[in-house]
Amino acid sequence: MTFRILYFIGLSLLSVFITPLIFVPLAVLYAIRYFAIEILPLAFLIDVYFGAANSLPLYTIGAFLLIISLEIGKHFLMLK
Amino acid sequence: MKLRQTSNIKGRILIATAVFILAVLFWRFFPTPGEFISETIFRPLLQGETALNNLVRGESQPLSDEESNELDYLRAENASLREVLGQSDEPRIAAGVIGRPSALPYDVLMIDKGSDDGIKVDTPIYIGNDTVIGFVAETYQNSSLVALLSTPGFASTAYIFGPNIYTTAVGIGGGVTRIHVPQGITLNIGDLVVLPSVSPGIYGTVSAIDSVPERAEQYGYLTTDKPISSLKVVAVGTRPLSVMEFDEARAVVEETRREFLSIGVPAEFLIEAQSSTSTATSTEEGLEADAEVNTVTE
Repeated sequence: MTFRILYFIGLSLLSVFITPLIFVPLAVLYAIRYFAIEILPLAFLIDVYFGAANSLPLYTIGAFLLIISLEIGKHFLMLK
Repeated sequence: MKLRQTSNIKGRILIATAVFILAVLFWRFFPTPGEFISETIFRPLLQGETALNNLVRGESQPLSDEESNELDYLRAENASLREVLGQSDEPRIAAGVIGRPSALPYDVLMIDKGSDDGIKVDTPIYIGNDTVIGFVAETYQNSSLVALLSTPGFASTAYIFGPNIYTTAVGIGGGVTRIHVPQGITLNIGDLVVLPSVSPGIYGTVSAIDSVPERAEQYGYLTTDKPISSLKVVAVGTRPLSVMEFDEARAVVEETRREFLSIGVPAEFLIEAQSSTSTATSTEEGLEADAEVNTVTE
């Protein structure tokens, strides 16, 4: 549980400071390992603050698709 | 066992869907609480990162009294010169840049002044004297979000000196804007670019050209003289941008053309007759040179 919390805090910090090219693979690993529902509120906060000029909440949509696809994928790949 | 797993997945998908729908509804119709929470979390992080960066690079040395006095004197002198030269006296608000494109989640700029400091939505963001790089898209209490002209998908009308054409510049991110013109139009690296709809100043130059003879069109890539990723301070205008007609835009281009023909020559090097008669030499249509072409301009 401690590792999960630290991983999520690290992921949250990286989401603000570095390019998505590095952040997204780490988020995918996180979502493979856990049911990453907490990524959704994080993506929402990013969209609200940084994405006000955008017409779509891209991070929220991306996070949702990531969680759904990996949950289904994990079932078929028998990862969990 | 298999049934339990399937129902577990269905439950998770249901929870994720519910949270997603809630998040989208809040984003669309009721973003204020989210904005408050985001600003409370992200602004100190961004400011801390900027301060740390400055500390590491040794750029946070405070000004000495002498330097501060000199700065105040130069500011006062600049203001009086602007008044004498009849330039726009629109007050501007200086703001520190705490987040830049490529590091932030979206291709935007974050500044450390917000609605509490008088920043308004749709006001232009200046670097240098007359160069607008974007506008305020959203204000929060103590920070603001700046949409750049180079933000992907943003389109603006550009005038290219050299081929002397109007075209549309579309942002592609990372501080780069792209123009798209037919083959046969001679684009050169270094051609100056004005975005007349947002400012009379030179926006930047054509820094790269992608032209393949077999293709019907060619691309030019525009960048500002000062890289957006290295910005530390910007000035925020106080009058929102407004829609401009083509005639106004053309007048802006001509004004810019006149301005960049004149340079600031120190009085001891300037030789000209002390006469009030006109010495206009330009015959270009629409361009009436001023009586004193070598007038010292800002």
